[in-house]
Amino acid sequence: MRSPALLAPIVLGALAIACSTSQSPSEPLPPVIAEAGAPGPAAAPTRAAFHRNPFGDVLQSDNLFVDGDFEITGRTDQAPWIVISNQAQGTLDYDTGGRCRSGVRCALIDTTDALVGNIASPSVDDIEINLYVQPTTQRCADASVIALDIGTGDGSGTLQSITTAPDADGWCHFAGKVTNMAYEEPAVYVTIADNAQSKTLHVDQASALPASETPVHGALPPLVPLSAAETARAKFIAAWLRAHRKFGRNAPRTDPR
Amino acid sequence: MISCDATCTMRRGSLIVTLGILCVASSARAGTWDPSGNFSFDPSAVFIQTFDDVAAQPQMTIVRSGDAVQGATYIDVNVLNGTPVSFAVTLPAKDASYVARMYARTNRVVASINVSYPNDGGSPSFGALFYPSGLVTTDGWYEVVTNPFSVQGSRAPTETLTIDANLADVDALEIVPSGSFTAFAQCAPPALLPTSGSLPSGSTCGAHQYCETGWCRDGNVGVPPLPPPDEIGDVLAYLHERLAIFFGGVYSRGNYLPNALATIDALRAAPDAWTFWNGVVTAIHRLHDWHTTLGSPVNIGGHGLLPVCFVEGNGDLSDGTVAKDPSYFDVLVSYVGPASTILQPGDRLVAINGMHPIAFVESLDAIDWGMWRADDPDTHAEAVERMVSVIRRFATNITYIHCDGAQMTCGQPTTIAVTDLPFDDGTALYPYCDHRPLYHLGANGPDPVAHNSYNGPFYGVAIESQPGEEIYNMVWNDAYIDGSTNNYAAAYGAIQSNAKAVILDHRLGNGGDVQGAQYLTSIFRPDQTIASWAGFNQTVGEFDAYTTNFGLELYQISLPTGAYEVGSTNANTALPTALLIARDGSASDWFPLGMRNGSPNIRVFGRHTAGAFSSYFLFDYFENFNWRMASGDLINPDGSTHLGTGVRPDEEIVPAQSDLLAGIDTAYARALDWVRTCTECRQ
Repeated sequence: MRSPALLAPIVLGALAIACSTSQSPSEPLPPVIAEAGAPGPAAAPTRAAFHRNPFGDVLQSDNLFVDGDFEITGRTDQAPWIVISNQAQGTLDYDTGGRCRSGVRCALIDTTDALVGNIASPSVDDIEINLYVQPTTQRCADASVIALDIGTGDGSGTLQSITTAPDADGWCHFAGKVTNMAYEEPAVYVTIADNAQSKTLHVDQASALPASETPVHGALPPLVPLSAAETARAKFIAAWLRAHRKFGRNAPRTDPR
Repeated sequence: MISCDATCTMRRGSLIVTLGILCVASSARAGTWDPSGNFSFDPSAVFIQTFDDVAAQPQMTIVRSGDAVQGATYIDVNVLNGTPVSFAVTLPAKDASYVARMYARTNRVVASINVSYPNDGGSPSFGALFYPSGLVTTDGWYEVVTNPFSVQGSRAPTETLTIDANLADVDALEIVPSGSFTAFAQCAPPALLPTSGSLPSGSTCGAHQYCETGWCRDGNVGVPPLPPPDEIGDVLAYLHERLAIFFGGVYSRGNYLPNALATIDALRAAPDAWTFWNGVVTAIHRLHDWHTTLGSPVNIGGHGLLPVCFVEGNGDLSDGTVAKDPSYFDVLVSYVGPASTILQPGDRLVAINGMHPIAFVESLDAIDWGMWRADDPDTHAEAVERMVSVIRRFATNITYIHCDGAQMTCGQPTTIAVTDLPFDDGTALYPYCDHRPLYHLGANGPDPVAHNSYNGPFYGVAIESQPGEEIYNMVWNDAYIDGSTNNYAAAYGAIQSNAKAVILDHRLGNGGDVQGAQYLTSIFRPDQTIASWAGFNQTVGEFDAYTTNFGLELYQISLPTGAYEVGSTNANTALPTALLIARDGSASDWFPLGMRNGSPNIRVFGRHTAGAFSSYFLFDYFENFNWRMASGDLINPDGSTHLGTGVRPDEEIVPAQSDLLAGIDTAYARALDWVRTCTECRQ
């Protein structure tokens, strides 16, 4: 991921709480804590407070996800991310604050959901996709992250987590390089894997960049071909989205008052 | 900064009494968190709500839990009936400026501190809206804040906190003195603002204010905070790239996108939240696209009674008095609500603030958050539809010509101040403006007073149909089939079975989906693939440096999933079919496109459609601050593209002033004559 410095939240604790004059230099400076937020000092505080950019990971301005960080994604309609739940579009649930990996909002899905996020493809380059998922277990394999063309439902492959277990903050980093998808309709869909024990997943901080422009981090895990069930699901999602693409306005009336 | 001294005391859910030194703050600090994760209110707060002892109310659950931000209780708001939860707020009885903060969790809140002044005729009520500050906690809470808002406590205001949310936790409201108090002045709305380049120059109002309905308003109270200096460039770059990568099609990217991007790029030095966010909104408006509109948190009502619907028309009885504009149709009163006293059908609106009415409405892209433009630069029905709303909010005066239907004569132009319009007490019926001067279905049609055509489709034998003619009429406003639900099937079945001619009245078309557009063409014309939808704009640069050769290739690539196939193999091509269009966009562009030139039995009458041949993404921030952004284009078999060019009718025809005065529906009358007299249409 680019520019991780933005993601470093700052603990704002220890600010004076008494009536006081303006902030003095003697006030403690905010320590920097880990990206996902839980600092875990020895005293085991109940919580920590820190700052995030409310517009999310905007340092990655050229992110090819329509909205990689869910900060300008709504819960319904033709949003950058939509959730297909029980064979039709559902209402996207959020979680918020430090329970997300970046920004203020992130997606929360359950076993009935497929979370679909739209991406643009470079005209010629491959696409490097990174995305963070937080299972409720210690198994990153509880999540399934699939790249596909939602025009046709053809799957490009399943992205793999870089680690088998979540990091200290509970997040699994899925990454992969997808072959150029120019003039297709690239997307990912995220589900709880069939054999998972997690009942919910948090999804956040997705990025897609031209592969040639991404920093070299070493080899990315290879994409894995879709299973028959995943292929069927991809085809269903594509067909559903194609049949329900909106060409119009919802609001029929302008209120003159 | 001077804060309260140690004698500050706080009372839950009530006004905080300050003893000794008054809380006078030039800037405010937030409540604080100690290293153990315990929250304390800002000691300079003048009001707090802990939610620890609030009374139960509908749409809200009181949760007693150890993970409250403060105390032992928070509320979970789940509004299902549209009525937000509400809490009384009491602020000091003095004129002061404040910020409000609270915490939310799990989902968004749409919340505001609402201030109204019921006891006098001074500056109007307002709501200060909450947006995320970026302060979050590890257990999911996020702080929402208002920008500073001025309250004239000396005018005995009523203050409330309202919260609308779907399963969101809320806790720990504090209101803290912040900023300098500003009393709002009366003002005259701006006559004209720039449509490109620099930011709006404002009017007689001060910094981060704008003039609306005769009063300066503080724009800051409706928008998110100004991003801090170390984040503002990144926020702008991110928004810039959303537009640059995903917006539009060939025409709109070439003609409109550069202006929008320049507007965004000019905001880096924005001095305040209003300048910044209004600038972002201005950029969105400058995309000049039918789909690309705001769902606005800035929504202040207008004033003056004007229950009128305008229409693009031909002022044939008054063009000798005031010449036609070379660029626009005349603007005529199509019909009025029962309470209209100033204007009547057939009257002509000559000017708003001295400008052609359409030019005035379209000049407001830097101030009117409801701005709505067609992609086709020659299409203006959207401006006419919104004209009453704009007059009541932004106009100083209007100039009109009143006509006499009995004498069929029109008078001289009269100018009146908008402030002289009759008082609107909120009870008058404003008819729905659907560009149809009259209906022709009798009891089977929409209510001719309310013009509730949005409940269609309405269909049946036209009232003008003579025995044996069986001329059917259908009135409806969309082109949408959701899976197996086809609202048009009954109407089309009746037409197929019984009609000898049909007049399809789609003079207001909100679009829908391709399936709907395809079906609506199905019984009238032969089967044909006429274009291909190339999908969202999801390949970087796809519609830039576009060439015909590339378009031919893209057409072929997209055909397997994007073919726009119209008509059917069992269409009745001997059924005279007149289609009326006026304000139509998106799938309601696609439908007339599928009809036009489709068969000799079809003829299209009216105005250009919007040329909105795309779909859209919906971006949605907090406080109902959302915007749609068009994405994609429709490709012709010859490689050219459709976006930006509306469907041209076979006969461009608009209501005539003389017809409106005589109770004649010009375009419908012409269509009726055609279906009765055409010959090739029956072969």
